[in-house]
Amino acid sequence: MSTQADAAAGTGVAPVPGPRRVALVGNPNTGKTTLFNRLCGLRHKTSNFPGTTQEARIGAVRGGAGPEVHLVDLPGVYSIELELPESEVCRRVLAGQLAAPGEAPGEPDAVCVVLDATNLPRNLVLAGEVLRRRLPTVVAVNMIDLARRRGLSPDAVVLARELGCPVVLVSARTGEGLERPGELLDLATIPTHTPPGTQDGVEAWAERIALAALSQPTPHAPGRRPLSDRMDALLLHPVSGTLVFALVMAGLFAAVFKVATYPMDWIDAIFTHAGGLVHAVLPEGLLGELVSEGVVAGVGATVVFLPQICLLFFLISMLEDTGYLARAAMAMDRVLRPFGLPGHAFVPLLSSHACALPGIMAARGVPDRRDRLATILVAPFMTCSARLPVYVLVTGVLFPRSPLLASAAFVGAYALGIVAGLASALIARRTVLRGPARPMVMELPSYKVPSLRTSLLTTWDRGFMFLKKAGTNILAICVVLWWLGAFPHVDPPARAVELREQAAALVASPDPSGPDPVALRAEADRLESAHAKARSLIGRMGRAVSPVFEPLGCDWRLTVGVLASFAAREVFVSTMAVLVVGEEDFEEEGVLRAITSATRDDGHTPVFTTATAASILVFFVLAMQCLPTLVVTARETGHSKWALLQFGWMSAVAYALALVVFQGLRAAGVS
Amino acid sequence: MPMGDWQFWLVTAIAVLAAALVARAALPPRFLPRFLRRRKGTRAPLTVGGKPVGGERR
Amino acid sequence: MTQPRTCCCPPSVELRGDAPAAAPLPGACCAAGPCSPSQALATMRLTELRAGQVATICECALEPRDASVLRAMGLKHSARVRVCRVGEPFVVEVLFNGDRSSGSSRIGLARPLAGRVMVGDVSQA
Repeated sequence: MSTQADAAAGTGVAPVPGPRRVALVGNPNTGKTTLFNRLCGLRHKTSNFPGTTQEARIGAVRGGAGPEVHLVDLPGVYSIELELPESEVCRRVLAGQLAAPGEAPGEPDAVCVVLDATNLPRNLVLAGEVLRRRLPTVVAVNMIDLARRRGLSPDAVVLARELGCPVVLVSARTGEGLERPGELLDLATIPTHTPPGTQDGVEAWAERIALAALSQPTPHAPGRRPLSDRMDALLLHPVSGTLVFALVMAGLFAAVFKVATYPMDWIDAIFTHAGGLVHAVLPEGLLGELVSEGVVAGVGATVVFLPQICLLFFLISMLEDTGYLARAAMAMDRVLRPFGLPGHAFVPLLSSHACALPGIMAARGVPDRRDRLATILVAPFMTCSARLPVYVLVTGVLFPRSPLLASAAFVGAYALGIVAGLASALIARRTVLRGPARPMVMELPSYKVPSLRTSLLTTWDRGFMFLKKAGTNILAICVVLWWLGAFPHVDPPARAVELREQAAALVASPDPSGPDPVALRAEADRLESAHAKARSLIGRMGRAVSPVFEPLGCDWRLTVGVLASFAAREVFVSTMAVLVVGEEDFEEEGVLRAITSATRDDGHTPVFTTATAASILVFFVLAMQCLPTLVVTARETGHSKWALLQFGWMSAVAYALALVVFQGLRAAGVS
Repeated sequence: MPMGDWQFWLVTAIAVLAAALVARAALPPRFLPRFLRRRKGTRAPLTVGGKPVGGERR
Repeated sequence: MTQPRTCCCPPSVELRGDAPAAAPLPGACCAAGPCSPSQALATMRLTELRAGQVATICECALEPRDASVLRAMGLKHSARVRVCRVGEPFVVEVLFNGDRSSGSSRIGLARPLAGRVMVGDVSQA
């Protein structure tokens, strides 16, 4: 790197002290995020640029000569002058009008422009647009390893001379040129030349510089069909492409459900033991109950799904890095277009299978407004990880002795979500979003071996966000639900008092032929707890609303669970855990099993009958039960009417289909 | 309600805080009381010679 | 939408103000006069090319917003493209400096969109 730095210094520009805030700008698919990860590692946080839906990643870069550098990863853009939201964010950040959360307003102290070494002429256009702004700039020519393999050897000295700013050849993937990461950003200087102001001018300027920098191009070998062509022919073919797609998706979800089972079991065991530990450590009383029944049981029931979320994001990130995901989106255009959705919707819809929030945010990559709205409206139909706890619970109830049928029900739930989403998109495009479809265009990045480092960092990012959500919002919901379920205190029912008296009498004068006093006390505990929960504030709320959900087979507990899950779906299992813990001994059999074996107020009918479980499954597949999603929908679409439409439509479809399923099964003799 | 139990008041205070957190996370700012709203992000209008630069609104 | 250019003249050549708005004749777009017959006749739709053929983009007959996005992606007037895959989707490789020696980028286009890109100067790669 020092050689290149010297080359840059040879232009007569003296390096200035290290900047404080550096904006990272580049075309999509230039390895910008890989470079960001290489420079910042885990020292970064993710949020949104204020007032926008564009993700802002800010990382701390250490190792430079100057003070610590805050690196702001701007959205990947082809040009900062386009009328696209991501281009506008770049323009505004570079102009000092927009700063990432926690950062002081004002122009960035420096800009690092990331160029793709395999595609210099086009990338240099963006560099020209940035250099016109006369901010201290350093240019990182990334993917130099890939370029060399293709016979492209850009000359850093020529580039630095022509651009008028330091240029460094790097490979973020291998770490080449980034041995001392902090030094790269310290090199930024105010450019000595100003590129032409017009688009035609800057394009010609970029082409001239690229040709000068690539003075010894490798002659093109005619007649040989490139590997990328053959790969594209396979992956974009209507038959082979669909087959590969089906295999990749099947592998993805099989890995998620098979491999994640082990860490999930460990987490479940940890929380089960934690519940017991809290009982042992904390003194008897309300505080101990809040921690063990509200916090540990509730949060544990959600955190147990962390491995699945991490694995899904890890595999999506790996697929994206290989270049396959862009091909899949292109191939899916054929499938999605008849439903009024573009191929661009594929990545948002796939991401929605992890969580609708990043899915809806990813919809900003859909260029057409109607297409984007349709994608946002139907994204929550895709089975997100928050639904997984409910699916696991309910499919386990439906097919307790047949894992194969339980898996089939699982797949069916996924398919139902996708079908409902596509049908809803079609209806929306024929009614509220009527208009011509915009044909798709998308850059297909080079095929690459995926970067494990990038995928792991993405996984860490998403997993941390989920844990943060579980540690804040879900924890808060669990605490509120526990409180509503714990008060007011009521006198125990007469039958429980009677059982306790009977047990006490048996202890005083043991009768070998009589009932076991321990069992009598356990039954008294169960009755007391059920009585208390039914008469608690939440029990009364559940009873008040239960006539609405009774036709779906719900008792008051399930009604409360369904209502609570309108805040966030994953809260359903937590709620059920909070509602049944105390009635069932979850420390011995685990939270999930305690919920499935819970009984209704009559003491023998299960909370989850087969028909109820099927109806609840359908309801959870289709219902809009996530307040944060509605908030993001309103924000992304710019109007709350779309969020209300999403909520109304999804809830109505969910209720209607769940009703049909429950009443149909009942009519068929399935209780 | 066990009004005489200090633990009752403690868990109630925790629950009220939790409810506020849920409302803050889930509801749009305009439905929230002022003290619960999130701080808006930093924005500074770009001016050249004291005059705002046109066409850059959001 | 601007009057589409129907020839392979460089963008600096001024367009005729009185050129017909609908179904413009090949090569009848330039204020300087009609193009040479060889240039005018060479203009064809991108979708008419076979895989492996290389051509020069003459015009992207699209809405200005779409055209500006394609232009930023490298699909602009006078850019050389190689057809990688025909059909749906249509895949082209944008060649800089006429071949892959100065770098390239691969763009997937929906077939209807590719059909609105006019090309000329066709050759085999």
